[in-house]
Amino acid sequence: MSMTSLIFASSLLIIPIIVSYKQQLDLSKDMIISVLRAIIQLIIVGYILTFVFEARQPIIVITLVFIILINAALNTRKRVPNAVKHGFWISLFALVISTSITMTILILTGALHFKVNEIIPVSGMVISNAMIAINIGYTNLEKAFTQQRMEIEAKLSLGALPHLASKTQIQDTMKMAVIPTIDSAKTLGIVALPGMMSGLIIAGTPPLEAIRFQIMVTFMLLSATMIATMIAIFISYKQFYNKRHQLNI
Amino acid sequence: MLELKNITFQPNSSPILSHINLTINEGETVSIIGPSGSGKSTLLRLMADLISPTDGQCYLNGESYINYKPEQLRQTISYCPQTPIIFGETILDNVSFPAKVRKEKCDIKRANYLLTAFNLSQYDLNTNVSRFSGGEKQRLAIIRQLMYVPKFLLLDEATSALDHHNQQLVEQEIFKCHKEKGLGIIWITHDIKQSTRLFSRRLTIEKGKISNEEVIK
Repeated sequence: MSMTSLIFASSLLIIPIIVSYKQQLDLSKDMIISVLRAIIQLIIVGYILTFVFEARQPIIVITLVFIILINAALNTRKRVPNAVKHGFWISLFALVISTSITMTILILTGALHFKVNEIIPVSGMVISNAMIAINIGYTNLEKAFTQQRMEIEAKLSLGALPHLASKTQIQDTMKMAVIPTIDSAKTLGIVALPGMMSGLIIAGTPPLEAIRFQIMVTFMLLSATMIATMIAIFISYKQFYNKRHQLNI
Repeated sequence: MLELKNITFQPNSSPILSHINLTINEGETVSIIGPSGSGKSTLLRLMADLISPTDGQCYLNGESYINYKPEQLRQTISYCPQTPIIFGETILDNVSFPAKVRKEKCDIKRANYLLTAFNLSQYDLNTNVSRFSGGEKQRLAIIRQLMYVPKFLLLDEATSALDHHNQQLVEQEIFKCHKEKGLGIIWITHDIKQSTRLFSRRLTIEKGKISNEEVIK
């Protein structure tokens, strides 16, 4: 795609800006800022990836993955429930473990090679999906403990330990965090051709090969989101209780 | 014996309870009356160790609550809240919960006995509870509390949603546990007649303080 084509393609933005203006949605400013941010971020990433791909140094790959992990953990901070302390570190731990397990299995099984052009984009997908799942988990955990406080206390008053008293809330929170990934897996190929698969096909990869890659991506996303959510939620929920197993919200 | 020594509960600027001193002997039956917002429920929640006093200490058999494991304490002093909370989907989900807490098998015989005693024998254990009326939920919540008889049962207006007949059935069964198993009862009620008829002592709480204490029988 030439730069001229890309500039002409940007004319597509005129439509949502006009709609936003006519319908008084007050989104024009946000839209322009988000597009400018995306352009700047992608240009920077493009240069970084060019440098990394040329360098072919494992340490640079690992450093870049770690930077992605830190950014993802920073992005979960806003969703961390009020009762939970050290949310950044909990998220980072959950992301590191889920990414490490998933990527190690993919590399050991030969589904992925330790090559810069495979590790960076795939780990980016894993981390991004795990981050979204953790964010959904945090939001729902806070809601569950606040809205179902009476149920939890009724169970505590029968002598239940915190993990039994809040088992339903933990299960519901985990389900809600992972369901978007499961739902998107269900509709693969029917509703949408996923980004990675479409990208491969556009780049000239035969569809059957692209599909194999997409199936692997589906496995890894399900695994990573489940591991990350489980770790983040299981560490976080305990902080809703004090030493006397009383709710501190 | 349950003792509250100089208990104050003040989470914000104004105290909900202040300087409460109270001793309740094992097997004693005490009713608590007082206007809404006087601190009655907070007092029961403190006794159940669901909240801790900001000042003073609670004791069970001379030992401070702090020396007990919370789960051990709450199996001994069991609290039934005013709003009946139902667990899961079926009656069994509810009556089996106390056994699950103790990692034991649910005593189905006792569950069926209590369902009959509380006028819920028309339902079996697999009945879905989602459409239960307020009164049925209230009775099921008390049954759950009585699956294992604690040393002290704390009831917060436990029969407020019941008609006269069902209220009497619940009272009969709870006081049967008192007579046969030495259950101590601390019951918040707005029904003065009930508090005179059934209990050995009556406390009146007003503005976070015990304003009156009467021995009835």
